[in-house]
Amino acid sequence: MPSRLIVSAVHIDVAVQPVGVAPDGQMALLPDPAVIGWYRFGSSPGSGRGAVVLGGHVDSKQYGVGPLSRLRRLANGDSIIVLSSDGTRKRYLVQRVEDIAKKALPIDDLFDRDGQELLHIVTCGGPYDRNAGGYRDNLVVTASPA
Amino acid sequence: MPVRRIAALVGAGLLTAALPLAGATSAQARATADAHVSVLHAVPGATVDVYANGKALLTNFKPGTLTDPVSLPQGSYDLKVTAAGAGANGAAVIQANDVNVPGGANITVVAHLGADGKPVLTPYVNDTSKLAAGKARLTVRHDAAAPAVDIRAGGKPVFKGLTNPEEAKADVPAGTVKADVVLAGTSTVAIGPADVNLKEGVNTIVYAWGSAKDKNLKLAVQTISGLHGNPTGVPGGTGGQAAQQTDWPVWMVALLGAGALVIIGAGTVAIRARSLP
Repeated sequence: MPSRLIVSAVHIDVAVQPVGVAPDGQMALLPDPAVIGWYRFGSSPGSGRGAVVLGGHVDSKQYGVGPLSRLRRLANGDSIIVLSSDGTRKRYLVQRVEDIAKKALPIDDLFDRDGQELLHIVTCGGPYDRNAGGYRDNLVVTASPA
Repeated sequence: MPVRRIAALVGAGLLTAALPLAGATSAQARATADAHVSVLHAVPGATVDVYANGKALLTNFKPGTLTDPVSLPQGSYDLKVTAAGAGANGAAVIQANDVNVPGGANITVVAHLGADGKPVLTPYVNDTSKLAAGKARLTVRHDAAAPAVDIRAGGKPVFKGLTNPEEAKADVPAGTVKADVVLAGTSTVAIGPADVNLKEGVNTIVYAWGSAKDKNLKLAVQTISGLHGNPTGVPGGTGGQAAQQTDWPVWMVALLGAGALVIIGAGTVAIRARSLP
């Protein structure tokens, strides 16, 4: 299982922990935006198929702004490293960085377990509207194995 | 001869009577879809071969064996069971003609002992509907010559008073449970305990079979995977500081908060959004 996410281009080097599903049905995230969740029911790095999904809060009332706020500065072709607890190291290259309205998030592609091997890193993006439930968008980084 | 009883039951139309139920659950009749049929041999004692329309479907089929799903085009089948090795033209110990197999259904046909110890044949329709994210499905089937039982997980009854050939099922959080089977309403363990790994997105079907009187009660397990659902979304921020710190001008956040987005003009917003680094 993934244990660390390293994105040197935007100075991200954070721990990864397995997460599941929150009571409201969404992907469960860890409270600290500096610790990233790996959707443990989905694909694992190097499994050869499906999307490895990592997710974290972009910020938090308690902890402030987290490292994933810098993901939007990534450019296509930037390198992403995922270390796993078994010592393996998997390198990915950024394909896309997108702001997607939460209501339009392509859930089945994001969490796909059978298709092309990909890495998806998801956090929040877009404007923040406290009265409308927080961030309007998800920021989604899609990367493919190098 | 136990298999003769099965023959009698198939001949009596029990199989054909039960199978249309499977068709009904796959609401849209998938005209050309294959049916997925697994067979569990849960009658202690007799090793057999099974033929469908003259072709060997199963050979040297031993008690306690669960077949992988066989894809059968929908239609009508002549089933014949012979003693193992007797060949396609061997004497039939079971024969059932014109058995209807509807398309699209996922079925397990179980040859097992009834509560009274006489062999019977029960076709079950497997629930292959999608699960919610993070959930597993547990199905239990009482196919043993034994009285009513409770199925317990971690010592607590989760299915109560199950009698042969009933089934019960529930969608539960994925994980490993310590399961056992007790006589209904008691703590007298009949089978187990056994660790059952209920994997996410999988229907784990546990069969209790054998005979209490002959002290050969056992469990058989079938799994049907690929039923997983996905989370409904990804939250992603609880503070709002990142929005204010980075690329979104405070005036736009304020306007959005006031519900004044339409006044700005959709074009401006769209261009602004795309130009974000």
